[in-house]
Amino acid sequence: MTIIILLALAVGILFGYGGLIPDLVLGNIDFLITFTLCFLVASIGLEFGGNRKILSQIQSLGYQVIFLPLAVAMGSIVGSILLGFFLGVPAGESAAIGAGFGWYSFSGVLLTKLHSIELGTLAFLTNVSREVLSLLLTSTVARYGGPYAAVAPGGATTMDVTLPLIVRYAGLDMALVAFINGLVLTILVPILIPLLV
Amino acid sequence: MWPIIVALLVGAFIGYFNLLPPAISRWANNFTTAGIIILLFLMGGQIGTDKEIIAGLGRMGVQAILYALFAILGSIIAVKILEVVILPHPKKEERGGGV
Repeated sequence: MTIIILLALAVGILFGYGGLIPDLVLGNIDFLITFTLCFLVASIGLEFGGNRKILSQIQSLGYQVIFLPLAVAMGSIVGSILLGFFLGVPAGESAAIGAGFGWYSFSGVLLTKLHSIELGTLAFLTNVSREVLSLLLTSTVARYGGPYAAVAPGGATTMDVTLPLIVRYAGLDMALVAFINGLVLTILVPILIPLLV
Repeated sequence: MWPIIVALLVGAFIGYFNLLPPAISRWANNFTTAGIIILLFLMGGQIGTDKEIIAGLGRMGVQAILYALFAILGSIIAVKILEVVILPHPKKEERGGGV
């Protein structure tokens, strides 16, 4: 499946770069992505609603789950600061890049406004990469790191773009956990970036 | 964000009240696989047609990928630490099988 994911993405990039995607698709690409995503998320909801065992598990889902996005936030920021240290980038700037949590459109624009086009572009590219790498790594991380670790790479995208893959590889019982994780991280992005940079 | 939440709730509603004909639900897994492939193709298409992304990747792509990798690794390590300390453990048999 990872190969298929990589291929679909690579073919998409090549088609896009080569101008092979019809204008009709390209003009509506945001809508089409949202539509496909909604379809996938609805099918997760479908499985969810039809599974009584899962529903009873939600009730037993502890308050501890809220610590998961906080750990992801901390890990992302510390990891980014550490790399910045090697690259000679100031800690605040590195931290702000990491605090995009994969939400590239927003973090890129925000840092362009708050700091500079240069940092905004780097944040944008970093978080695009984070989303793509998360898609590619989910199955491996789930296999070797377990279901909670599989939620970690996606960051804020675990409530939408990476949700279908997390459910596929980490199990249906991670669906709600991943959704909450993505939601909390999404809320944290506009709070943390201005504080850090 | 709202379309996603609505889609999730609509799906859960249909699933909870078993409103989907069995003939269709048998195909559900194939539909999701197809959906994932279409989604990734479209996302790739969006990246490929964005000349700014392509140009930016040439200039600071390595740095961006390194940042992404460090953020991902940091997150995984932090979650593993958290898991040992505090998180409830999901039952093994409940996990979906991935290939």
